[in-house]
Amino acid sequence: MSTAADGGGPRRCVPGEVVAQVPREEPVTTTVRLGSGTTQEKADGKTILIRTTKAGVLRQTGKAASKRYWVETRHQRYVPTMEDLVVGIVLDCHGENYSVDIGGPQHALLPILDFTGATRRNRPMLGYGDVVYASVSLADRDIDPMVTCVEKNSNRSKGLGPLKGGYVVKVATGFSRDLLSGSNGVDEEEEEGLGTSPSNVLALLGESLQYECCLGVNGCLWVKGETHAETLLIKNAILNSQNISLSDSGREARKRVKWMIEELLKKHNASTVED
Amino acid sequence: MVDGGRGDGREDLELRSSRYELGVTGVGNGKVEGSVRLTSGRTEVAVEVKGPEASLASVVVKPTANRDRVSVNVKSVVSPVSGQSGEREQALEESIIKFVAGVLDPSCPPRTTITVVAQILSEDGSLLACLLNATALALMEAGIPLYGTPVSVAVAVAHSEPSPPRLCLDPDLAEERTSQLVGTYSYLFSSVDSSESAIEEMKANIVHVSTLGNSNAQTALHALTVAEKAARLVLRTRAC
Repeated sequence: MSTAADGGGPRRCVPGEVVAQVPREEPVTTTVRLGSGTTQEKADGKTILIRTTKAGVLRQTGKAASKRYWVETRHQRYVPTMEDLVVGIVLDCHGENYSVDIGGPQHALLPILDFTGATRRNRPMLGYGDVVYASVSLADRDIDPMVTCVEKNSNRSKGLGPLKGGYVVKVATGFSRDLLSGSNGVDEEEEEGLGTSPSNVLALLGESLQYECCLGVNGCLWVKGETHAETLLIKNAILNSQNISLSDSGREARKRVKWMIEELLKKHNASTVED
Repeated sequence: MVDGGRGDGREDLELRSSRYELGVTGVGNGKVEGSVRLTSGRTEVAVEVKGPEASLASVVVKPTANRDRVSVNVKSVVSPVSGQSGEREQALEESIIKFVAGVLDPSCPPRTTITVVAQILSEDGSLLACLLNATALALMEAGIPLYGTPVSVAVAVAHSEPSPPRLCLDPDLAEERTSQLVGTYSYLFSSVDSSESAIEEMKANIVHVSTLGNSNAQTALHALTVAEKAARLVLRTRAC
């Protein structure tokens, strides 16, 4: 195990390791952002310690003046953070709010009027099991999180709202973040000249199929193909690629994902011809 | 314990070979977040961790004057190899609950419940140490924030007189029965600053001590230092 404290590369870590010491000074010259699996602790009056709380792969980006630290893990527990885009499942409707399962420790609340263009008379009626794409509007460790489907302060539509049909796939939170950033678990540095997005299983699927997809950072993916069979194919491809990208990296992973998709498509085409 | 070698031919300060398997219960299946099956010699346990999930309103602890307290509710169930659980299992549950509460990081979501379900599969000494190690691994697998990396070891004092006392690490059932004192010690390893993040430099805090039997203070202290060294060794092999 590498123990270089200031090494920039990803390395394995266990809970309780101090990864950095940040001086407390006036005026503030350094900004440090802490992601999942890291916490801060006051050592004495002058420094703040940054400590890992989870076992996984420690990642860091940025230069000395503004650094980010987080621990990549395989687990599925989601901790709500402001403005995260999540896919949630409606559990219940009481009075003014829907109760939505977003995979966190507490259920999130979704006000029944928080939809684009919704009024008291004309609003989406959701029930148990309906899927929504929402953005986290309130995240605090001491109160229940809130989500909203209204796009505030944004000209560009994020496509928030109820999702009709389709299929919800549950994956590890780290994997859905990888899919969102387009790297699909592949280290960007390892991949020379290939670009990051082509290695993404979603892009590879898009070369041969038409489908809709919503990525939630809470580890919930919603996919919808043109037919049910295609939806299931996409779901299987995503679940398979999760294991591929964990064991391989770079070119190898891309090759394997491509091969896996081709095999699935072959089977799919064979079964549709029979019908 | 008879003088001379140990029953299974180990050195006095030698641990049994141990093996663990993570994700025994399929992740995403039900609410189980982390599961592990740990084998140490002929002792084998399986531990599952659920949570942190929102507590029921009835068990939420009212905010008290001490606001720094982690208001996380820990539950534990220990099932014996066969039959119904009795007083001994209750004592083990109690130890696990205190252990988990001791290793949690304050950043753990409040008003939540963490449930630890342990099944003893086979029993041959050092049971509590084995259970605590498995619990620690399952907590890490579940991604629950911990203050450090906990490691537990069992030490048996074969005899304290005549000095020097004879200590045996990781005793099996036969050795436990004939020993004067059997202790289970858990250490929480965390580094003090970033320059000393090497495993050897990590600070060891005691989070659990339980002893059975009697001995003099000097021997007990000696057992404590031996346990710390052993725990450090386990930590090093596990981290690599």
